[in-house]
Amino acid sequence: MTTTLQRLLHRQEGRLGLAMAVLLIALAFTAPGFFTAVNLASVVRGMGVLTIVSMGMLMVILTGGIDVSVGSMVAVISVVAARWGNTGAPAALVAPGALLLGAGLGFFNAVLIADLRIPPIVATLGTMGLYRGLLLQWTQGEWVTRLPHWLAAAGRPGRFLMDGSVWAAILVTALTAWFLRRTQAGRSLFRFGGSPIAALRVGIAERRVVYLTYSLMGVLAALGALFYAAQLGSVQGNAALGYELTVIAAVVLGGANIMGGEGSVTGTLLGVVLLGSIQSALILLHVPTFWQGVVTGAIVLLGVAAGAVRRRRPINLRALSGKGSAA
Amino acid sequence: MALRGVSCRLQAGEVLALLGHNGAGKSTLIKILAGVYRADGGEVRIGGEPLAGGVTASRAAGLAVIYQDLSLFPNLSVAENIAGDLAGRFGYSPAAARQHAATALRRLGMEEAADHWLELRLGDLPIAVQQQVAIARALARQARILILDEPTASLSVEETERLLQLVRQLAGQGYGIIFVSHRMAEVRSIADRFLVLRDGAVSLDGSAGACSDADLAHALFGEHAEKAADRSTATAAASGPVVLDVKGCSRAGEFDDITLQLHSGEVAVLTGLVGSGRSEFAQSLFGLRRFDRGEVRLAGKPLSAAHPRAALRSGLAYVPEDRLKEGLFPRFSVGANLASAILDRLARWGLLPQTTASATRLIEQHGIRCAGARAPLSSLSGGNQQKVLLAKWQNADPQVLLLDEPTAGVDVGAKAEIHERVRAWAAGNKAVLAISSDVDEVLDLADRVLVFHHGRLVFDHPRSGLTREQLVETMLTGAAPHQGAQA
Repeated sequence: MTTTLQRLLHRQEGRLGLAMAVLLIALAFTAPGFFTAVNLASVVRGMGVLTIVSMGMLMVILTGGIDVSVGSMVAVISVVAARWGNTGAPAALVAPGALLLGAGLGFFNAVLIADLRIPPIVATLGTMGLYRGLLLQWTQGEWVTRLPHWLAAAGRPGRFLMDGSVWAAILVTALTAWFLRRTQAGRSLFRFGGSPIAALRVGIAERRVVYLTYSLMGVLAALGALFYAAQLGSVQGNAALGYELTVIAAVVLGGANIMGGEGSVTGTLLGVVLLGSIQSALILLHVPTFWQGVVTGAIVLLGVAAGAVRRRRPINLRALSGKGSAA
Repeated sequence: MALRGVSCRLQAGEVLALLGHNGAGKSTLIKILAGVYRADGGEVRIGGEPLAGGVTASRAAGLAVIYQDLSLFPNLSVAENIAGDLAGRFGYSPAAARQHAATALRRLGMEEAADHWLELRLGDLPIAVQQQVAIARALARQARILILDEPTASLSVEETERLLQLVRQLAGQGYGIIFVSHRMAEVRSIADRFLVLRDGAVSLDGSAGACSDADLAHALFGEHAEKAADRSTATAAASGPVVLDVKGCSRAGEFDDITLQLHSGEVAVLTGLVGSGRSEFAQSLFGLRRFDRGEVRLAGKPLSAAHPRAALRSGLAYVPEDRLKEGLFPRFSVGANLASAILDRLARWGLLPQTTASATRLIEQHGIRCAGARAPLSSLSGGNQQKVLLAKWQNADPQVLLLDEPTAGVDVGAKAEIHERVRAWAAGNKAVLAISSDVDEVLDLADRVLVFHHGRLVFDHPRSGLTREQLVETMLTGAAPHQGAQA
């Protein structure tokens, strides 16, 4: 007999939903400020950027890769966009330009991985230092404290107390879900991540998959960077330091297999929401900010370990089809 | 140069058996046909049309390769594995994938799979089903020519029979089939024509009826033909003193009340269908699992098989089936691999001495073909890796050697050589208990044959007089053969 609860727990999405419920109930008792409209809205606004960047990371992890340079990419693009915008260049030029720069940074990662055959973790670790170093050299530690008015406006709460990042996140999530489920290019990420050799043998070119995925990662990091700058109101060379940890944590917590081939948009979204709620709960409960890194790190490890255990269970064919002769 | 001047033809409805040693050029030929490699010269025509190079062109021309590793996507559903790329050009429609997949599975006679298994994750299914999925994938693509690369290597006897039947059925429907296998009996039962490669050239191309076993052996081995000849008349079992004495060993749900004795100088081969409990039994002997009941004595002393280390110390070594994952260190040198079972004996104060000299001696003794003790293990062919694995354990000098599938994925020549060496080693007052699902291997290697059926030892008899048919019958039904073997 499978009860509803067992069926729910069978999927990572179900387990996350349950964890969410438990967390919310606990918060209702311990952090009275949590369930006010103003606080909830600010929690949701705080998840917008993370959602956007995590969708890119989901795609990268689906291919069996990883991109630890996202924090540096977010920093580079937020500073470039703010400075460029402050020269008086129009939004219609700066925003697409920023996205293009993101695509370029991501594409550079892809070239290192697909053409120079550097493992993703090493390639992006290199560019993580490279991008950030170039940025610090350029800014010389100077802050950009004033944003162009259109960028600042994107970070201001408007309808339903939501800002631009939330609407963009909804759009990105929907597009990613469509891309991953309903296009051959999206499916090729799963195929390549599940078995690169088998993918090669059905005519999927590794290079194309890697170019596409890491470039998309760059574009989404750039989109996230615009809203990141907009929400903070000022940016500098050390912006988004360590952000890659949060992003990877959200995707892994969302049930994506770090070895590639398995993961979902729904799971990642729930991962973002759970992680975002935990982090804002930690603030409300006056837990020192240093503990946030500890909690995020622990979540990555727990997520990966839980996934490894879950994937070990075989299924019973006979039981499923209700007849004999499984083979 | 891997291949020289190879020509062959395949007709619709024909099963062509492609044979040859590892390194004879089979894989190269397959990869040229599949479009993975490009030929330096020559051409391939399908239905009269010349085949352009490249994977996509080959597939479009109706050629499908079912690789030994199947090359499927374990993380995806059965439906997407079969028909993922047919479900739309740019878009992907899961419903279309399911529909194409169901059609292909029905054509294979897999109604049940078509109805219930489409949404299952492929990696959760048994290997035999995955293989059928791979064949269904080829059919869904309108393939006319199927190339099966060692399709039976990881199948049990039952599953192999079912696969051979399926291949016959497909040939009957007009598919052209190229069937690669190391197992002669299988190939005999299915092929219309043989194509044998040796050193990259065709050494035999003829219809099955016109080729005798001697012709095949000669084409495969050249001057070594006599070595591969059948051993059905050989060996009156050497029965020295009892080395391994197993009494009433059981493990719930796996095997029950196993009693057997192994004599010094003897090679016993334990066989049975997958799931008959034979591997579990061997692993329990070595301490990888535990017996619920029963007693094991090694050279008269009770064996406390609580842990592999205890078993090793008392003179029992286990050589696992998967040499690269469980048996050897692929990134290390041949020498380091040879020494790896006796490190504690070699080490002085925790430091290892130079072992190249002794490794070179072992390489010579065991006929391992490699570029020397420093050559990386991964540079060796499968057969030579297997020899390294055996040499490594024989070097540790155990009393009893447990061999799990000692020649899985090894070509015919190396197989015969390995059998020869195992027997020679056992003759020096040692004993070998091998596990094998390859019937030819059982008959070729064994002094004594043991058959497991549903967790029971149903047959324990000297090899001499036992025919292939009797053995298969016993494995399938669990009933001991009536005559012949009792001689």
